[in-house]
Parts: sequence; C-alpha cells; structure tokens
Amino acid sequence: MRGWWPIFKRELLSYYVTPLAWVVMTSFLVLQGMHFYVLVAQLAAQGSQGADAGPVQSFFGGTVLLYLPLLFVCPVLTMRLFAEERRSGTIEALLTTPVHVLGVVLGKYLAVLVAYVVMWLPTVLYMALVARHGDVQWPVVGAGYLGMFAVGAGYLAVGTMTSALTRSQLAAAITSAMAIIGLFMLGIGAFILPDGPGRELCAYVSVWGQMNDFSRGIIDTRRLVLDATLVVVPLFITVRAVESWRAP
Amino acid sequence: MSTGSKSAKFDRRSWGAAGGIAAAVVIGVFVNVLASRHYQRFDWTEAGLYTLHPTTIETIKDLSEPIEITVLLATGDPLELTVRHLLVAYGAKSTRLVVRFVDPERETAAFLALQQKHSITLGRTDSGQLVSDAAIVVSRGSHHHFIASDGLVAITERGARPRVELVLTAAIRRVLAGEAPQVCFTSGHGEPSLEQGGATGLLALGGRLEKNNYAVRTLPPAHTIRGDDPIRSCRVVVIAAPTRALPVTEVERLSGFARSGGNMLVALGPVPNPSDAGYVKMGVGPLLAVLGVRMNRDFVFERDESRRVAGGFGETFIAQLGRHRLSESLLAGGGVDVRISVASSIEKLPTFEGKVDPLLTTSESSFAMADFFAWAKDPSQSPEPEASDRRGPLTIAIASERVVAQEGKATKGPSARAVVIGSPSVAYGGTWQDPQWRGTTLFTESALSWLTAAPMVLDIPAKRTHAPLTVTHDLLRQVLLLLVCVVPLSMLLIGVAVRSRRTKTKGARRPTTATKGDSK
Repeated sequence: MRGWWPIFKRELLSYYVTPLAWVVMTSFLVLQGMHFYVLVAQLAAQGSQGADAGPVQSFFGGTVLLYLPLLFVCPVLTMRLFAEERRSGTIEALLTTPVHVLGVVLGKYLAVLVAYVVMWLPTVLYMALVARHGDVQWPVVGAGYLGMFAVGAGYLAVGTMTSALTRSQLAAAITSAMAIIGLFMLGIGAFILPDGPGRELCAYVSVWGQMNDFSRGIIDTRRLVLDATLVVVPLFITVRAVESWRAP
Repeated sequence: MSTGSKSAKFDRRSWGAAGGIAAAVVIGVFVNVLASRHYQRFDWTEAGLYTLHPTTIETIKDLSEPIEITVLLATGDPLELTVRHLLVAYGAKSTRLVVRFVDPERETAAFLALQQKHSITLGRTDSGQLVSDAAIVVSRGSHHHFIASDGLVAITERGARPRVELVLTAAIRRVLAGEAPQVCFTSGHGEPSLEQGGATGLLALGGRLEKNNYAVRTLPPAHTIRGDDPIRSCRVVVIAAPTRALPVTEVERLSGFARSGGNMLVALGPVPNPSDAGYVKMGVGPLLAVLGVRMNRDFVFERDESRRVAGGFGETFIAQLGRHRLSESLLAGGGVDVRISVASSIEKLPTFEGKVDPLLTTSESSFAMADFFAWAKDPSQSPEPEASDRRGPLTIAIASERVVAQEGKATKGPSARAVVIGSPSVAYGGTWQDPQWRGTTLFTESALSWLTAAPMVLDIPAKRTHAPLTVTHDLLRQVLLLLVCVVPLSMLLIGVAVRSRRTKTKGARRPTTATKGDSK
C-alpha cells in the first residue's frame, strides 16, 4: 500500500490536463442534462406524482438514460490506466520504484474513481434546482448518489482490470465496455425470464434493480455486497496481473 | 538446466496466480450467496415509506398458513414499484407470503385465468394505461380480498399519498379473519331486489359492494323470521328505496339493531301514494329518531343554475359536499359532483345526544316544497317557494354517531354510525351505470366504507409526504438553459482554459531550453 499517494496525484493531474477528460465530462453533462429535462417535462405532462415517484426517483432509477453513458464513460476513463503505460514502456520505471503493486493499482484506481465522482458533482445542481420548486428528500438524493457511486466503482474496477490485461487502450476500452454491457444485459433477464433461479440471479445482479432501490431511498446490503465484490475481485486480478510483469 | 528451472518457476508463478484468482472468484461468489440470504434493507426516506409499521409486523410475523398476494399492476404503473418494494419488506418478515406479479399487458394468459377466477373487469384509461377493478388480490384458501388501484393512494391537497401498507395489512387481516363484513339489504317493503338489474334495481350496487369485499345479502322481513334473526350478523343494514310503509315490527327490529350498536345506511325519499294526493307514510320516524334525525315530508327543488342539472325543474341537482371524515378523500382531489334526484330534507333532532354532521346540502336559493301535489297538478310553471316551504340551504344527507349504552355496565360502549340520505337515487342501478353519476357512487361507497370501517386498521398512521414538484414553465426553461447548456458549456470552457494554459506553459519553456542548448 506504501507510496500510493504520489501515483494517485500524478494520475489525477494527468487525467485533467488531457482534453479527453473535459470532452467526456461535457458530453456526460449534456446527456444527463437532457435526460433530466425530459424527465421534468414528462412530469409536467403527467400533472401529479406519487410521494415516491418524483424527479429525483425518476432521475436515479427511472430510465435507461442514466446507465447508458456509464457503459461507455467508465471504459474511456480507465482504458489508459495500465495499457498506455505498458505501450509507452513507462510501466517498467514505475515498477522499479519502491512502491508496492497494490499501491500502484489502488493509486490509479482511486484517481479514476475521484474523476468519476467529480464528473457527477455538477448534477447536484439538478437537485438544488428541484429543491427550489418543491420538496427534496436529501437522504433519498444521497442514496441515489451512493447507488451511482457503488455501480461506478464496480464498473471502473472492471475497466482497470481490462486495462491491465491488454497493451492497447482501444482493446482495453472495448473489452471493458463488453464486460460492463454484459453485466448490464444480464440484469435485463430479470424482466424477461420466467420465475426461477435464472431470474433470481439476473435480478440479483441487475443494476436496474439496484438503482430502483437506491433511487427510492432503500439501501439494500445485498446490492452493496455485490458492488464490493465487483470492486475487490477485478482489483485483485489487476494486482496479480501487474505483479506478473515484474521481473522474477 | 537454468532455462528449465526458470520455466518451472514461471509455471509455478502462473499456476499460483491462476489459483489465487480462482480462489478470489469463489470467495466472491460465496460471500454473495451468503449476503443474498442474510440481508438488511435500510429505509432512508424521511417518512419511512418502506419501513413496516409494528402493526404490520405483528400481523404477518406468525402466519400459520400461506397468504397469496397477486399483484395485477402493469409494469409501467406508477404504483408498481412502490408495491414491489413494500412487498420485499413484507417478504423479509414472513416466509408465508407468496407474492406473484402478473402484468395484464405482458402475461395475458395468466391474467385471463385470474380474470375468470375472480370476475375481474379490465379497462383502459384515456392515457392508454390498462386498469382493472382489482389491482391486488389477497387470498387465503377460499377467502379473497380485492384491492382496487384507487384504494392504494389517498388523494390529499398535497397530492397523491400512497397507502399501500395500510390497505395490504388490512387485506391480510381480513382474509385471516375469514368472513367478509356483511352488508344486509332490507326487503319486503317495495325495495328493489339485489338481483334486479336495470335503472331502478340494486344489482349494480350489490355487485360493486361484493368487489369491495363485502358479503351482500338480503334481509328477510321481520314477520318471516323464525328463530335467530340474521340481522345480528350484519355489519351494516341498508334500507334502500322502499316504496311501502315499514310495519311497526320491522321498525322495532331495525331500531333495536341501531340501539345495540348496529350501523345503518338509509336511502329513502318522497314516495307518492297510489292516488298521487300525498306521500306514503313510511313509518320510519322512530328508527330515524334513534339515528338522531327527522326526514321531512317535502320535495327539494334546487334553483341555483350552477347546481341544477339541465332539464326538469331542479329536482335533479348537484349537492354541496360537507366536510366529514367520509368525504375527506372526495373533497381533497378538488371535489366531485354528487348528483341527487328527488330528495326530501333532513333535520337533526334537538334532543339527540350524539353527533350529527351534514354530508350533502343544497344552495341558499333552493327550497323544499311542502305541498308538492298541489303544484304537480299543473307542472307547466316553475316551482316557486310558498310561505310554508322550507328555504335553503337544506340538508339532504347526514352522518350520525352515537355512543351505545352497554347493558348492566356503567361505562359506555363503542359508537354506532349511520348515514341517512333523503333520496333513493343513490342506490338505483342507473346511478351506478351512468358515468355522469360517478361522484354519487363514490359518495355512497365512501359512506359504506365509513360505516363498515374496522378499527383494527386505524393504528397504521398515514405516512408523511412531501409536496410534489410543481413543474412550471419557468422551471422547464431553467432546466433547459442551465442544465443542458450552461453547465456543460462551462465544463468545456474550463477544459479549453486548462488546455490553452498548458500550451502557453509549454511554449514559454521551449525558448529557454533552446537558449540553454545554444549556449552550450
């Protein structure tokens, strides 16, 4: 774990000096802004909302527009973490420093996680705007963000892993996008499969199910355990992969 | 030898890494299997919308046999997720609840089977949404309880408020208790029968009551009773549109029921006698006195143009709904039009010790004609009030509550309720079949619901809710301008600023480096 802080700082700074970060953030905010606008316009058309079906609940758990950007943003954020270092050969220098592999992986992962959180920060404005025109239950908003954090943390860990398993950024992005989309599609099985273990499994991994819970202020420990698993296992694999690059 | 050693070492490392990864995956799966079996759900809503009330937990924790809950809400229904979340919370407290979701749009065959089994009717709203008259069916063996969609929310001034837990727990208790509350209709005095369809029959009212989970039965006249009087098992007795006088024995029987704490719904109005020279003396005065009111022998005309229904002389009109517990939900949604046709006025007896609240009233310009038959001889002229006529506003429906004295006990017993409506029109089939009379049917249903209310469900308080978002044109404009344009554009500008600063910094460094190189 020793020495992760300089790696974290370097990774975070390097992220924000590339145009990619700002393009990703701008695109993400345009999409989420439009998503929120559509929801509010829809509520205006409906006239009234139930006590637990307001714009906050709809934003975090109502439509696929929340998840779709994530399926592509997370791979883009993580693709260069290890693949670029391996391609340019800088990974060798990094591995010769007296930093533990775990520190390297965690430093990079935490940097990309912070970038992900920063990407979401402007959306707090949406909630503030809603609060000006109606009541907002801030604990429910907090639960929604917690859900998005947990889902994103899992997806980013998967992206970190695929970046460590390939030399090409593009290959890393495509592989992690496929893995994340696969997880997402598995969750859709909960809506189409008949009752049985298959449906239960799909419902368990369903990000829809998770965000339906969290967006309404329900924190389910099963979802958190699944997300934690999606963080720990890919990061463990990443550590093992990076360790294997070190000379014996 | 050296190469072989390296290769062996590599193989050992590879196998070690693969083994470690496999072990991590297995541990991950194991932890998730454990977590799926032993989990907690924390409710972060301020009102605790998904936290079960102790009454609910008490109800379901020791179920001795399975209770089947079938939810018939379409996937897009606004309440579907609320019900789903709440049923997960129910499921966490009892393994005896068998929950099944049947989407009427997607699982047509399964829905049709249920439709036939429970005689469920299905319709489509203007917005294209499928709705059935039973949104949830709670079953225990042969006992069923139906919950309609509109029963799942309470309409208040602050918008729709879910009350799913209240109705679900009440339904579970109802099927656990077995028998549905009995609503008994008197017979033998010219009342239409429960089997009679058409505009003046009670078939439509009886059918609706059965769907509202009441057991509906006809009460035989008093003089035909041999042995135990079935009136004892009635939760509510309904006297609906009699056209002949009730014999003294019948009135005594009904008065005795009321005195002993029985609840009653009386819907009767002016009935002309066969010679059209006066009203039939119904003989219900002593019974109404027990309920705290007197029904006048008059005929109400509404002269307020905004309340009169087009056509006629004002004998059919929209009554003003009074504030009362049973009318709360009707008033909250902006009110409903309660139409009444052919009514007599009602007055509270000054000697009555109980509580009498007016439910339906007429306008100030209305009046109750005392001598209807004199005017009826030549009905070409609009009716005008005479000196002997009562002037508006007139009460045409009341709700009364009285405390029942318990025999041989100093303490007073529970309160008994009654609703008296000075018009039989609320019970007729035509009223229940015509959409224009929807407000009247809602009023009658609310009255019966108040009369049959079981105190056991009242200990689940309504959950506090927040004011819904009022989406104004201004808000939409702000969202479009601020969130779709300003915020992303700001982010782009920051990015451009960072980029240009970096370019400048790089540019500033280059000549220095070149100078140094040159000097060297």
